[in-house]
Amino acid sequence: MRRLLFIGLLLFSLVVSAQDEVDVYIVEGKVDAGGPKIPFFTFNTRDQFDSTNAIFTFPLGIAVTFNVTNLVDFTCGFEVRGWGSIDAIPSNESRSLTLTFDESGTFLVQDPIGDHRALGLGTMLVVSDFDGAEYYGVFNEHEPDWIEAIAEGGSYNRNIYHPDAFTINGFGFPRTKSDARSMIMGNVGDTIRVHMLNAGQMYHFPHWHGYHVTIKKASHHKNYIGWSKDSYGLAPGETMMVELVPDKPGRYPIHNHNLVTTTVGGNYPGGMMMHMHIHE
Amino acid sequence: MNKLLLSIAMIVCSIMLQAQPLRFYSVVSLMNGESDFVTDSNTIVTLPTWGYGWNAGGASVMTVPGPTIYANEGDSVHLQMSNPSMEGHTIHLHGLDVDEANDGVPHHTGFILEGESFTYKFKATHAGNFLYHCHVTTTMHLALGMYGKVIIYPDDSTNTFYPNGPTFDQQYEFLLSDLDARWNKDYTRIGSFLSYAPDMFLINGKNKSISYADTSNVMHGQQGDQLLMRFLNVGYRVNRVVFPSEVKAVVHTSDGRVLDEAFTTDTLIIYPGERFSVLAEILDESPSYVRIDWLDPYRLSYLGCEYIPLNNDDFSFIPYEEDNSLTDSIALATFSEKRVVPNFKVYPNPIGEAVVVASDVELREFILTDLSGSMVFKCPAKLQTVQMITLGDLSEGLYVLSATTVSGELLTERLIKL
Ligand SMILES: [Cu+2]
Ligand SMILES: [Cu+2]
Repeated sequence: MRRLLFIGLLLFSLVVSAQDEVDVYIVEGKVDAGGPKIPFFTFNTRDQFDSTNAIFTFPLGIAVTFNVTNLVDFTCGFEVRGWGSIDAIPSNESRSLTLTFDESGTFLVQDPIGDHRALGLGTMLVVSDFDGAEYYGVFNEHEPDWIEAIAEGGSYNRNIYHPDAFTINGFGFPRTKSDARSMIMGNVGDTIRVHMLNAGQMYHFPHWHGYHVTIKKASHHKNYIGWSKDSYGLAPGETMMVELVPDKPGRYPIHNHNLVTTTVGGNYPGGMMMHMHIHE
Repeated sequence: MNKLLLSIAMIVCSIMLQAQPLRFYSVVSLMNGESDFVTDSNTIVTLPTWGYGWNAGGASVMTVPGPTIYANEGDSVHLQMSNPSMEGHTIHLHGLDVDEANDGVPHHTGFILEGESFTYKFKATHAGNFLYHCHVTTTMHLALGMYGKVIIYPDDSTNTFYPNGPTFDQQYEFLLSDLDARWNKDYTRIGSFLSYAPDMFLINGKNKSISYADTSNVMHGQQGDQLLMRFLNVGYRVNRVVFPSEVKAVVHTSDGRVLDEAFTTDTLIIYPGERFSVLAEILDESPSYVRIDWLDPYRLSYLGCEYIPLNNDDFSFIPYEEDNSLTDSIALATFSEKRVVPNFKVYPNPIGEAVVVASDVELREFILTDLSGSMVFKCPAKLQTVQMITLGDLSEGLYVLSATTVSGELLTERLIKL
């Protein structure tokens, strides 16, 4: 198969750009969120565990074949919400899915089986025809009791939820500052697109310091579309695309305003806080 | 009446500066406040609070919320903060899109330490509703009361709330927040910040009967009147505002920006950090009320509510029957944040050169971090339920001692060095 080389390759290597065939592995490992290590599952493009999920980006109009291999010891699935899914991939087997992305937008990729997304198996897919800067933030929280029970087939109470760790693209602050996908770099007057996904089970509330942003697309809060906001809600599973046009230089955070989530191991600061660095 | 005193006490000067008025305000940050709240069993509790107050020198008194900062669109605002308290604090001007130097984020521009003062400067570019709050150890400082409102008028001589917008007859400001009484009772014993479980739901810092006794938390009007209600959520929980059928509520602005299309609604969800201006026309003067619900961030399940009376001088409300079907079709759920924490005590506090740690679980190691989160010191734990750790000569300030249990759980205790 012909492999296309795009400018996207200059971005962070885990942003998968514009290939017409993509290998995806469902892998298991542990993440260190500052406290005890938490078991975690991810969609990766290599067959080794990486605590951050791959974020998929494709140009508008491309047909993509996903070859999905399940390396964990229970059956998983693979869904690009709104586009198509593989319902079941048994342990150590592979399945393929071909999708033609003829509409731009920000989409949820998840394991659609039961509560499997809570294992960590939720990430973002962006179909874009935009030639400016784009950044990506997958907001997620981690509930070790759920993860252990789901992975080991034990029981857990869906009504009791006490996540211990809060991340953006699998990282807590300050590690988020060295994640090229969420560390927004730009210049005054640029038009910058920021794609956000809430891959978690609870609502998250991004707050922008320094600038208002225009909400261009929202999969749940459709009432927001067209509004100029500095604070908003992201429902569980929601994708949103916002546009930032900085009018001044500066370094600013973007963080969840449920400030319980800007902590790590129960202490501040940490967790759901990403940054912008805008130059003159 | 209170407001009058405050406006006399506050230092405001409007100087015409090349046709661009300058407003100067001066506040202090304090950690010695006290406020009364009403418990679920309708008894009154007095809790310690942190917050801001008008600068009156040694006679400064802080309140929750702090003083409201008013300005007109186009004004330059200088907000001086002096800090006589022992911890570092800042002011973050939430939604005002100020430059980095005035943004109040300590990991970019530092802390305003004890005895220091800083003047935050910004231009009020848009009429609307904004917040200010401390951004130091924000999870705790904000929860303990370090917040207030910034209200920008298009021009204070007109009854509009944005340039060329519709007019109102009366206006009300409702700053919504939540508070965990356990946190305020003794901030040194908060433990993990994951433990936040608010049990007080506040409108302008007041709840239940204390709220109804405050004339600014009670609305009045005649049929045909347009009531402007400004809602600002500075809490960590979701607010649902439920308007009575006695009014027609139209939402006009959000986060200090005018919506392209105003919309009519009987329910408005306000997420943490969001603000809305709602113009409500009184259709019927009979007693009614606006109900504000507090919802958890997991399934938006109901946590509690407060009422804003409208022409309702008997304060009679129909008790709200918890109903979660309104917001979520998923099975009912409780967002449980309170976890059973093993016994972990550190004393004395304030600390000297050494502390004693008592714990009923086996510990692995201790880590002491300072206010900025950097590690001051680390040592392995002994196999004893009571042990002493020598800390040496630490500088003044707030520290966090964390201990990891053998099962991997993290226990923390906040310590003060005087
Ligand atoms: Cu503070
Ligand atoms: Cu804020």
